[in-house]
Amino acid sequence: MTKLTLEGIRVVDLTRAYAGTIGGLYWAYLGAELIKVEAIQRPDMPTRMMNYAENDPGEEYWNRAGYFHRLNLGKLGITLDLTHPKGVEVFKRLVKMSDVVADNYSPRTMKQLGLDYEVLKEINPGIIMVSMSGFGAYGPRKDWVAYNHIMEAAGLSSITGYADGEHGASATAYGDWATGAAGAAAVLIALHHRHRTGEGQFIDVSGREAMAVQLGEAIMDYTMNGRVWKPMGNRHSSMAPHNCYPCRGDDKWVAIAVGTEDQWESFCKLIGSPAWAMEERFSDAFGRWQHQADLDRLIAEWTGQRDHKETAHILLEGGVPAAPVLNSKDIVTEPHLLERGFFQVIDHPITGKRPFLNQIAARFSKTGVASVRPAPRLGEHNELVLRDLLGMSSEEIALLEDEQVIGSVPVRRTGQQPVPAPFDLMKKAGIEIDDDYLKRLSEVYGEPMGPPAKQAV
Amino acid sequence: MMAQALSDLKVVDLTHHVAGPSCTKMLADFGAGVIKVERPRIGDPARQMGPFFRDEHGKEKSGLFLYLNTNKRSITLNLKSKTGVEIIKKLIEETDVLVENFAPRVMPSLGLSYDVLEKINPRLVMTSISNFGQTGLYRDYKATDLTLQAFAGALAGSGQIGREPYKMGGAQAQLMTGRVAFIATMGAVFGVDQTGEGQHVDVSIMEATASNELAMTAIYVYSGLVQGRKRLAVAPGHPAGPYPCKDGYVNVLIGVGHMGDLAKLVGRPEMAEERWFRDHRFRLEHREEFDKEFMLPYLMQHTREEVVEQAQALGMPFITSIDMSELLVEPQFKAREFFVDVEHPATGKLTYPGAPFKMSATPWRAGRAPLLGEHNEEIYCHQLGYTKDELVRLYQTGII
Repeated sequence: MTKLTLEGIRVVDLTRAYAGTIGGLYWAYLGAELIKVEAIQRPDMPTRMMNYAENDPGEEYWNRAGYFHRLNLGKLGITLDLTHPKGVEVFKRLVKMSDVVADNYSPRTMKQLGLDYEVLKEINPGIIMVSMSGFGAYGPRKDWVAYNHIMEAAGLSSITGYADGEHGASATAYGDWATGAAGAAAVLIALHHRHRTGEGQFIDVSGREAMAVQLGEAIMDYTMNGRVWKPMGNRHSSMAPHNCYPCRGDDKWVAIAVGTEDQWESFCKLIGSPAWAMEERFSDAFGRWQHQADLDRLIAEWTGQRDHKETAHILLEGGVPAAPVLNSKDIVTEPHLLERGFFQVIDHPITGKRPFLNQIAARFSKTGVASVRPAPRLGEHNELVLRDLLGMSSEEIALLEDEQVIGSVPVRRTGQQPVPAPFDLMKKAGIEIDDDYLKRLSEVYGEPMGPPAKQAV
Repeated sequence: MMAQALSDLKVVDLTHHVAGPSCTKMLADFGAGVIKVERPRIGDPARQMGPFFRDEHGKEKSGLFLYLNTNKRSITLNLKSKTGVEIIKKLIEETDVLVENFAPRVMPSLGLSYDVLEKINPRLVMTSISNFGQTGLYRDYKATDLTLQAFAGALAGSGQIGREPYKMGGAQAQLMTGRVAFIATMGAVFGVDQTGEGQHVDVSIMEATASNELAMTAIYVYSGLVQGRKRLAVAPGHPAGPYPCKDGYVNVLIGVGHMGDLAKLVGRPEMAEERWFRDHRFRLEHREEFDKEFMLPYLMQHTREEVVEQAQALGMPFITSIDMSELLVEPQFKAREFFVDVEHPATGKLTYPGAPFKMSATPWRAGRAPLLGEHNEEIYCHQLGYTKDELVRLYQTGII
């Protein structure tokens, strides 16, 4: 059996919530061993309270959250109170046996815990430490609080949105992704360097900088020409038509982008060669760009009564770039992605079987991608890690549990009570909730989905 | 000079446009020896795409190209010629990584499929980037960044009901893919020492972009809630979102347990325990009054900078959305020296975005993009052993 590429690499993962946590997923799918460290005093919240299976918090709500399950695939889970000297001692022993330590705390936290890079390097000279924060580990704003929108506010928002409106936002927490992916990439570089030289290092990821490197085009237009880009909807600097057009149904759209004269000719034929398409003003790309407001209006009349998926495929088959605007339900049932093996069905001991997309988004011809384990229950692998990896005795472990250094039940419930999301209210507001989701997924994936009680559909 | 992290890696770069080059840029910027192979006389199509330096259209003046191709060497080569293919095969003998982003049938049609190259160099990692992947139903479909974002779920939640959904600004699907391809490539490279074998890495822009749907798809498979643009009329909390202030807009977000800090911020600390600040339901039901009484008097007296600084000092994640001109002078970016100046023969000195992250032992290094074919002599003569005469003949016969 071919070894996975990062097999044998061990990561101590202190990341929480979303941004930094995504980084770890890449290493997990490449076969690394990740040990996620929480504390019963401070479990990973609010993530362990978001999106309960079947919208039901149940008894152990902290182990039923879909959001947490998704972000923490591929990880073993332990608890350690890092404000307790014994917790710190165990942590340091873990670091000694590990290759990478990852965190996305505010920059002062690791120092306050007495676990900054200078300390960890003494314990394990080859350790690679990656700290991911919104503003970075040093600088006048290093203590500022950051969320996804704050990452995106470093330029992306200023070039996203309607041409007549305010700065917009990505709809998929792109700023968070940029932060985690930067951390993932950096660690792979550091692992390569360490493999050659034995040297570890400290990596400082600022989410806002990770965002800014994705804005090269816009930044260069400013530094070269003093031009400040503004949001321009879906418009392109030279292509037209280039937009999203309304289709039949509730909020359904098709994206169409014509890049060459050949594609324009095909497009005209595919939409039935209407008279307007033959107008001289649309006959070349320059003219189409100038008159795209009218062009968009005319195309929308054609798409208006048509199905978005069918329309996109007719155009695609005819060689024209197009796509239906797909949502999350479409993605997990999308035939091309299923054929590509983009999803793994993973069985969680409490919430059962669900499909999850491969975060690494690549196919590897020899090694494939790791079959990632389900997300850990709180403290699930305390004994496995403390006993088998660190060689601690049952007595030592029991003592840690007595002193609440470790455990598996949250000590203090958060201010919020675990409640289901208000699906009734949401349905009334027209938000789509598919009551048959488990049945649908079972059919598409060819095996019963959801927890054991629900699998008999 | 200290060797960089990836200085042992030799990369043959057949990529063009955005997705592939952004992957090989990261390899080059951290020290890999990247040989960028471009079409004779025209080069990478990105050279024809703006923005252009001083709006002067020219193959050495594209800001897009200049940014995405830093630290690479450029050779020209006609891949449709037999000699061209032989030259690639010769380079592959000593190459660790090959990255390409042609349409899937191209490399096999040139006789450069992974099966062929693997026999020449079993340790080769070959990364192929394409719109929809090397296999599958959509393999041969055409696409642009807009359509790929649409296919990947990136538009499902953006914009307002009743209006078209809008894409992320810039070529984000392709740039995201470049980052994902880099991670996957480096993962495969790390594995070569484990097994002695390289492999073929197949990255699709649709999947790389769709990987950002991880949370939305999890929400669906856990509860049936479908991603969309409709929202509950009831706001989650108040105040939240964009607010006007003296010189623009700030994005307000209070965070759990910080209402007392908000009272301090707006200069009404005595109100911290009063109903306005303690009863979120009451505040929500009377939000216009709350804004008029507490938020606007403070906000309209202070600039965006002042509001955000003061709020952040109290631990509240306020921010103001800045444009590129403001990004260049933002205090944190400046203090961390994020932007770098780079000299280039065609443009003189220009300011570029710098390091994507800071590494203590093996830092990122600035560099410039190559001129078209700038390294022909270096690679063909010094590395591959062609004489100067032969180099001239390669030009004359349209091979390079």
